[in-house]
Amino acid sequence: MTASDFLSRLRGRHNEGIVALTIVLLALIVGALNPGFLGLATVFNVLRNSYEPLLFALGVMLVLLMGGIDVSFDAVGIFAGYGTSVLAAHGLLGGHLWLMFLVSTLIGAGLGAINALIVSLGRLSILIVTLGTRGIFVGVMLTFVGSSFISDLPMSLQTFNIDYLYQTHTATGQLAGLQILVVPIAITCLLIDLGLRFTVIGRGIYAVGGSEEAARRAGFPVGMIKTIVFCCAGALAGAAGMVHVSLIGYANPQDIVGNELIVIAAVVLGGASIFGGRGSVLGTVLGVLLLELIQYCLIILGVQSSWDNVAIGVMIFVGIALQVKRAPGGRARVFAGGAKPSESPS
Amino acid sequence: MSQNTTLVETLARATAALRREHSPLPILGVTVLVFAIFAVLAPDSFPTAANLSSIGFQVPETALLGLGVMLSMVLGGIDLSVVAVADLAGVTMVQYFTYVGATRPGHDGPLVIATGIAIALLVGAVCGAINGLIIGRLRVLAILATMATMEVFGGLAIAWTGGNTLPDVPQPILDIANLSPAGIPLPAIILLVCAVCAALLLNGSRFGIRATLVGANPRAANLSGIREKGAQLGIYTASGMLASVAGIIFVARTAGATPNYGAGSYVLLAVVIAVLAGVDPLGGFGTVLGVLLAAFALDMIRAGFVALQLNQFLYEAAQGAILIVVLALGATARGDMHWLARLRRHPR
Repeated sequence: MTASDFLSRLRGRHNEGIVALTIVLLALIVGALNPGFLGLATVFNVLRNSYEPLLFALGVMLVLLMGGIDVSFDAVGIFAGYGTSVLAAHGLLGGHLWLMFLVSTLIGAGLGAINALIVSLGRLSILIVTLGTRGIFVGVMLTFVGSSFISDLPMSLQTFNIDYLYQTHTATGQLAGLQILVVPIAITCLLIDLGLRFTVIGRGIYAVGGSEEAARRAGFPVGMIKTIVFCCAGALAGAAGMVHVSLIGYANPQDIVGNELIVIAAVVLGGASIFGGRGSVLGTVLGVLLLELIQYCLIILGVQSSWDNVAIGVMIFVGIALQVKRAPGGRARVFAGGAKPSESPS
Repeated sequence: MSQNTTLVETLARATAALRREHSPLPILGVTVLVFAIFAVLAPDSFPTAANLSSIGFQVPETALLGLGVMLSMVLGGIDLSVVAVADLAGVTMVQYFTYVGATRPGHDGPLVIATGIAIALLVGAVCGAINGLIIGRLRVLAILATMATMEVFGGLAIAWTGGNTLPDVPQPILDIANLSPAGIPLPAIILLVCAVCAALLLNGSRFGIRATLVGANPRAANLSGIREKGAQLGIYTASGMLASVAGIIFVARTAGATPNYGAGSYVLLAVVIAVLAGVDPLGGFGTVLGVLLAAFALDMIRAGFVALQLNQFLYEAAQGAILIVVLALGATARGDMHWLARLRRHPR
């Protein structure tokens, strides 16, 4: 293997290597500026902030692989999370943690199925359909499920928050721990990655993203693939909503919706192509970690939170720039979730 | 016999006109229908002069944003940053007013006000131009580019104000939100002026027609010698300026510059307005009249919800539902709903 081969393998098919390198560099730079920074506590804290966006990001990535942009994931997440909390507060779930996560995931999958249904009605743009379903989910939730805080959540949910596998302290003496949550999430990532690589449906997702018409003629069950993807994305979002509630300790129906950009930025940064057909779990994980690390560093360095949005916007730019540089010729016509450049009438 | 024929003929022509692509009749019909429904459901509170006047003050904000999104859709893109640009323009304008002390008595002369407005428009143009350059020259996808610029522009507004609302709005600006010369709300007059300009730009200028061609078929336009970069730059600059006018109206109506005003819901609303107006998200067609009617219809729905004392959250759900229904209807017209055709051929 030549040196350039080795370098491109290190870089990864979707620039994952570059993202990983950026993470390392950033950590070293901030570590130099703030000596207490480099340590296990930082790792644990960044991980803790990453669980929720990672689950969302995996869902977004799945839909993006198919060639569509889903913007309804945060609405699905809060609907599932808040809805489950309402059920739990009424004692219907018996305080069982696993049941709450299951219900939340199922609600999410159901909402994802609604997305799938509407998109399959015709050649509807996924972006605009999910823009619509997002409004519907949020509106329906606030109208019919409730619009008030829920703070009396079952005990199991509250202690789950501080169930640590391993604990340590930050430089300033605060507690930081590796939560049990990391295990199911790592397993989820692994399952999705294996599924994408080694199952027919998984390869089918890439195929549909590459060219839907070609995939259909090659015999892939395009309709079923789309339904599965949307349901999985919904399930992931539902789980993310529950993670959000458990990490915060109360259920606020006005949460989550409005912070979706950082998730999409992470997915794009992680190398997933906006046209579909390219992307990896590893890239998405690294993208989320990088963005969370950046936000964490901004706090550590004392930058005011009002600059957060600007930082996120710049990060999206960086992710885009990396992608555009890679695509030969850089075709940039937007197809809001539907046909690809090769399928346009031009 | 002849009477039946003419009746059938008229009906046939009417349905043909309705189904003709890009006809303004459907949206006009929708507007009238919405008005009729709410007038019947809430006869005491809906069709009153006061209610219509309040709609007249409310519609221009969203209509201007809708015009901005419509322009970007003509090119096959989508401009998600319109609200952020509006906010940034408003914040910049009020920062200027604070800097020159325009709220002090006697310091709000026409020159100061005109400069403030010009600054807002300039901000809108610059932001729009940035969008246009990124999309046209850097060849970045419109949705991604405007997502990023939405964060950056909005973030700048937030950082500049520390997240607070700036209160120093001079009286003449505040008057925009209250005056009704000749019984027509001033914001509505502003909207009409902007709409006429937009219509002239889109349909009556070489630039506008070329931009429409670029949106309809970029490859053919390119081969015909039309530069896509110029179209992107011009369209997004225009969109940015329309957004900044909306931002000025925001400031007037809320008596302050709020850095993330309408950041969540207004973007969805602007897209719904554009799609409801019959604009094809794939590019190639835009109608100013359609946007005005759509904005009007949607605001009537909002006012109707209020009159019927329905939950305000339901309005957002309704927007989403309208978006999807209009999309689906567009798909039927395009013949994309194959399962529907199959159903018609084999009725069970």
